[in-house]
Amino acid sequence: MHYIQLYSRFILIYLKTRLEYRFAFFMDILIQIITFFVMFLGLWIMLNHFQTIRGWTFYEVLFLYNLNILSHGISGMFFMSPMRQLEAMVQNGEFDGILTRPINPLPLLIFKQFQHAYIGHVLLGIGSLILCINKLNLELSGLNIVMLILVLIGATLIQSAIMIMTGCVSFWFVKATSLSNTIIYDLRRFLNYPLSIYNKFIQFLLTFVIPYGFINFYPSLLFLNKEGEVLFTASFQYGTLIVGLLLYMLSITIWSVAVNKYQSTGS
Amino acid sequence: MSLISVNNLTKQFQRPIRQEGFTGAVKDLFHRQYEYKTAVNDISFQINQGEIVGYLGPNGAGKSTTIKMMVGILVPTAGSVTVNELIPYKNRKIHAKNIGVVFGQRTQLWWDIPVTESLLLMKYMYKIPNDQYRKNIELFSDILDLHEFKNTAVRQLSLGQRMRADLCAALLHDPKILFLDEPTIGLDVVVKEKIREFIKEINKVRQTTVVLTTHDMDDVEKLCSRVIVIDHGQIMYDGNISHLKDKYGSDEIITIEPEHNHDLISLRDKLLSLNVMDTKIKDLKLQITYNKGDINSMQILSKIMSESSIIDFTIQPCEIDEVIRRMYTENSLKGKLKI
Amino acid sequence: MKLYLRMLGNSYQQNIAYKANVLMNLMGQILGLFIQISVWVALYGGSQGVNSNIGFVSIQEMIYYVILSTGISMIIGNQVIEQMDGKIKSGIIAMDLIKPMNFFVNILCETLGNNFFRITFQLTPLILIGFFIFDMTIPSFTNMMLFIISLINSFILNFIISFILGIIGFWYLSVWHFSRLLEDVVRLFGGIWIPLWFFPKSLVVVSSFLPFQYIYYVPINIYLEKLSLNKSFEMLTSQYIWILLLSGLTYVLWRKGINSLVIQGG
Repeated sequence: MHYIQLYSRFILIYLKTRLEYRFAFFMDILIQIITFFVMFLGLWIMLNHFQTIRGWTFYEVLFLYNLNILSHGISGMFFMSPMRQLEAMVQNGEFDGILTRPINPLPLLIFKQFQHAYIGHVLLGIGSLILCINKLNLELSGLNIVMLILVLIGATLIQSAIMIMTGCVSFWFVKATSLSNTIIYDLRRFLNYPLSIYNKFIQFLLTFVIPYGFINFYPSLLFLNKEGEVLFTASFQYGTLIVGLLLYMLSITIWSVAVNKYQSTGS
Repeated sequence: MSLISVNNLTKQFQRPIRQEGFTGAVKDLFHRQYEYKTAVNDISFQINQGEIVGYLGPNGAGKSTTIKMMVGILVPTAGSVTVNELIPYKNRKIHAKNIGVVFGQRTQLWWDIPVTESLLLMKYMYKIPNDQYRKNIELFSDILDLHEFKNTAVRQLSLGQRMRADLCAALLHDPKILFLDEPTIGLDVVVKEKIREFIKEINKVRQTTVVLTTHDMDDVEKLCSRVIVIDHGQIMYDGNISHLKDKYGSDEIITIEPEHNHDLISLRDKLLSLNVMDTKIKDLKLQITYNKGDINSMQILSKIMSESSIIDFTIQPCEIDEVIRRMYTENSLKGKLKI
Repeated sequence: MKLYLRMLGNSYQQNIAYKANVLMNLMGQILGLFIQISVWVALYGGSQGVNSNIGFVSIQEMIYYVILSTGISMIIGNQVIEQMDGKIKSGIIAMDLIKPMNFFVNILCETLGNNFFRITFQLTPLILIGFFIFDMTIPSFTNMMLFIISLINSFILNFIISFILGIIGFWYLSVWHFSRLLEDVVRLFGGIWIPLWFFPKSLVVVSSFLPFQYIYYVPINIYLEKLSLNKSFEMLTSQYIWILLLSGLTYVLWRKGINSLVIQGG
């Protein structure tokens, strides 16, 4: 409760400060929106010419893309900056200061940074998700809405967990986060299209090793009624929240192991 | 019961030994070898409430390792630290409310946010009551002159301003103990003086215990009632400064400027009859080094005045860094003799 | 000249120091290539070819297109905007301006050094993949020559456009906005991602007014022999016209930028 109160105060002050440079603030968001729009336009050009990609129509692919961008945007607002900076903080000793506060280190890191540029991701994600639901005539029953929210929570947890785990790498290896970042972010590019277009190896990798598939592909099968696309087992369609919770718990465990390691070795 | 109690504290670090070349790297992968470095070796001391303790030593002596264990960042390998009846690393969060920490040049404040807002966030973080917060802000802003930059974002502050803001932030919650790591490093004289004044004031008014590391001997002389000197992970000295000086630094230097330059050499020769350690002529001045146990300054000065007229003289007490340097060399000599 | 060559060599060597980075970058590029090929194979859905704005396009040609576009990005890519931004923000630019060398050429040399590096360590593996895994072929001698010329033009064009956006750093703080914008626009209208073959007519018209298609789309089409000889020459001419126009703009903006630097004192 204290954390929520503290965070809301931090956010208010942060936004207030940022809004003093209003132009830069809105440009940060606008640029994210433009990137998104280019992706949108590209997908449209492709699917305008080819109609479908392995049976997925434009709005279906867009739905898929939105689940990814929305969950990435939400977790990026909180976790992206702290985890990117962790490497430097551990190396220059700034992390010491984090351990002298009456708050747990992970929440404290989140309180220190907010990535407002991702607001653009989230806004457009929501907007175009609504567009997709509309165009695809998806039934908006109470159950479906609850399911969608649970899927988004699960997807956000997966994205956050992977960001936390890549951050943790810096407690063990020097200069390794840039490498792990590359792997993680390049792999995330696979999510722009249905997992079913790739070969078995990639499908296996993105399901069982780095379970990115649960962010958008598997839940999309459920919402878009794509029985023909089932990979491995149909029950994966319901797996997002569970995978998210498990992965997040794993990442928190790794995090506390990492902090303990820091406390015993000091580096 | 002392406020800080350090008993037989030891900290060992384990570092992998990297073998050279590609085959070495492969070997490392399967069979890592470690070397052990003892940063703090079986040290004990007690600190009572209201003390200002200077924790001194050369780089790599184990100063910051000890401080980090007292603050709760590091877990000891052996022995114990108790601060205000808590074991710091075990009760990290409660402990954090009892202490204020300022680590050298790294700010704890929010980089993009103006100072006042940053301090406000501290209030929320430590759950500081309104009137306590208001009172403290008023007092601290006055002594530290925070007004001039309170609406500036932290990243735009100069080093001195940032240090002042950090000090203020570290004390808002009325901590019992203040840990300072190199609080005056890189600052100009005026700011240094201001910060020392502030620390003294807080210590006097609030009875705040202060533990500080520094390389600046002015800090020590002006602030510390007691110093602990550490080298190679072991305590070399623990006590007040004057005693330290008596033990290791009872030498003083008198510098004399005679009216006539030609007196210099004759004066020097005459002084040789006295029990002084060394005489030197430098920049048309005469420097006399003597031990206070052998002779006092008045005896030397009256001898000189009887022989010639002088324009000016200065008496330079032995400086604390010189004292510590001597202690180190003595120690390392002992170490060598043992081998 | 010797000085510039030396600078080129320096930036080449600096890259070698980051071996692991280079390897990761290469892996990223190959993953990207793999994703793109999977996408096109899925879009073609088993058919050998589809119709487009320029006629029949086989899946083979489409795969070559993806490989070529990845390869070209290795040859002509640059970090000019970031470099200039760094120099302007840190004030190093003032030092660079005092030195007896041309700033433009200075940046160009650093870029060339980086690019030669990428050509040796990233393009070579890509070429091997292209020729041994995907059986790529070399075009006719004429087209190969035209391809090389158009590629050099692409490099210059891309460099000038980046340089112009770099100059904006004199007035604008968050230059990453522009580098990102350029990246996005080139990705779409340059035809890096999707060939203009598949664009609807209206977007083809839009892109004909923009310089971006001359960076990627044109050289690739020449390599794939999708343009007649006449058309190829026409495209080369357009490249030169854009280079000329934008060079003029660069000169004007550069003067203004320098002036503002002098007035504000950096």
